[in-house]
Amino acid sequence: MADGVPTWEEVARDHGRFLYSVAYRLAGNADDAQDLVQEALVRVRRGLERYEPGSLEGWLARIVTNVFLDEVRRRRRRPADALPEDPERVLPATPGADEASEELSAEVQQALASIPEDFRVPVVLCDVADQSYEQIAATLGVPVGTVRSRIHRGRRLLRSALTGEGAA
Amino acid sequence: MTPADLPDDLLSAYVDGELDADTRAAVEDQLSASAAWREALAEVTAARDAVRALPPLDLSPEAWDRLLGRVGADEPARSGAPGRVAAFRRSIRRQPGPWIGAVAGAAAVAALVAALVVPNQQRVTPKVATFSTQQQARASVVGDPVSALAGATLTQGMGR
Amino acid sequence: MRTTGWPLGVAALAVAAAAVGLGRAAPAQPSNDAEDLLTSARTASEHASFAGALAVTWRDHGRLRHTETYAQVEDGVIDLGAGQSRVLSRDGQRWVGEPGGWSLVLGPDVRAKIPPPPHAHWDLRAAPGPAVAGQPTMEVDAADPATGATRARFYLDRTTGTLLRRDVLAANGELLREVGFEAIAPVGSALPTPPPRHAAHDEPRPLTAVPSGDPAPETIGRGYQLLGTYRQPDGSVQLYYSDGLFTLSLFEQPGTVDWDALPAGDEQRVRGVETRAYPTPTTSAVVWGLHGVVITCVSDAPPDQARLAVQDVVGGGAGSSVGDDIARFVLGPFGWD
Repeated sequence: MADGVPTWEEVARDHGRFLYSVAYRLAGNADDAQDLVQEALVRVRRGLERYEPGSLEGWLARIVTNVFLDEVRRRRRRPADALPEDPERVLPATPGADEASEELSAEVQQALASIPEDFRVPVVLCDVADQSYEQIAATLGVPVGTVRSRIHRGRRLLRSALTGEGAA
Repeated sequence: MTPADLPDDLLSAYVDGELDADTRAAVEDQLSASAAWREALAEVTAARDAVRALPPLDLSPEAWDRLLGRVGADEPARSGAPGRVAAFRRSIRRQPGPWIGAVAGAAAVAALVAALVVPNQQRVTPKVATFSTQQQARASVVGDPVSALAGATLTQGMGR
Repeated sequence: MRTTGWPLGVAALAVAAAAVGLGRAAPAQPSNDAEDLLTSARTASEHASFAGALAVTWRDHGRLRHTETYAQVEDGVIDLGAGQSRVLSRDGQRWVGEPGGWSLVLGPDVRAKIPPPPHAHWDLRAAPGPAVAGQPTMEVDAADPATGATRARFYLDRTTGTLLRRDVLAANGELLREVGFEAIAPVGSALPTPPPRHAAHDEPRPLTAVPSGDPAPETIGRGYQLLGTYRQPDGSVQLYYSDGLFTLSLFEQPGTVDWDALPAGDEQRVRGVETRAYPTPTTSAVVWGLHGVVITCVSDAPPDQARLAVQDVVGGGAGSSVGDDIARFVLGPFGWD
């Protein structure tokens, strides 16, 4: 690391799990998550010259979000591609996780993937990447009030998806 | 701001600690007065907690090796529509990669791993207070937890 | 992130003149056997229910320093601290809470080895002890078998078996560290414990099979056995040892020590290697650099006991040493898993 700026390899080593977790919660599946992380690291490589030491995870969260949104926009313009079923092994980070909690996590993940991206992205940035509303607003290029209302709406939709009740 | 003016999306901001003191006080007044608001608060809190309780995820070391090799070699993404990531990158003007640009495939992975394990002269400031907390957390599992963990509540500011 | 204010209110906790019923008694009656008392204390907090003011004393450059914190124990959940910094123990997990949120610093490790018994390296004696926080106790003394000097004292509640006070002594009997309750009361007069709302992704990961390269040393010092190895979120590797009574960790990071960035400490040369030592309220730490690895030894043992392990790790002389083994372990293919 020079002058507080890490190399992209150091970013991958020290923050890879963070990147992958955020990517997986955005994309909802391992294949797409890996692609997001790969593209994000390519952008990290290119962007490190302009990086100013500060909140590295904030910067990384913004990059992986932009990669995800670019892909969402691309898919909206073209028919959905059929992705192969390739169960790359995804490791839960907590050793000894019991089956009940794994099942619950899968349900929550499924519910998260079911809500529209406009609401899913700010919820993931807030509750997985631990970003502030101001940081999320800067990432998405929207006012803080919009972030607030999207997070709220996203959580109401998530709650409905988990309980099976209609969204208020 | 009167209760009637308060938008209910303030509830999520309230739970996230994103409100200024005046707005927070107004929300708390509304919560005291309105059962519907209290119910809505419980719902968003439950949804927030459910996502925050999701465990962090990681790839296997082998998958990381392959992914990082592709990054280093500027190869297309592994899955799905052929070449879509490569196509995306072609639209961006490339900067020449450093040492890894000319190396491809398994050789790139080996070079990457080798670079990461070579001892370096990076200057390190051990976080003694953090290490003490981690050591005592582990000690609290096999010994008395109260006496083992008591020190962790006391910040000593030693390179923390 | 919102935090709830917690008044420390030590003075508000009254010490009952009569014995206070502190929850259910432990399933087995505490025995007079010293080792039984110590091993029972490890699980006694799962059955106890009380809150109290905890006094923490430690010696720093010859002078005793003192502070207080707050502890609440209920149904296996231990909540320590107040205000800005808290520690929560629950379901095999350990959380540290600060204004920015909670961090999970330890999760259950089903693969961790069982430590040796306390009597493996220490002579233990039990006898009725003085009252601590108004509760009658059994006192267990742990003496160095080589010198006969008592190096630790444990005071255990006679009814519940919980540890009420723990002293660590120098070889000359001088107090080095003490953690003990000054006042306790039943839960119910204490504030409820909110669960952690958010974990930063920072729990340690156990490191398991070594594909190749040298393993971490199995034993160091006088009887410290390796129980587990972990990758900490900052990338450091933790080797965790126990001699059955005390515990010790070696935290290892590739690089060289930035001495200028560290606070002033006790500087000593150990086998020709520059080291710097620091006391903390409940541990002592020693930092040094060797073969491109920065090592921080943290232990709740008396410092002179931990120093035996440090001497072992620093090693010296020709040929392979424990320190060389550690350097290879940290820097070899296993160093980045």
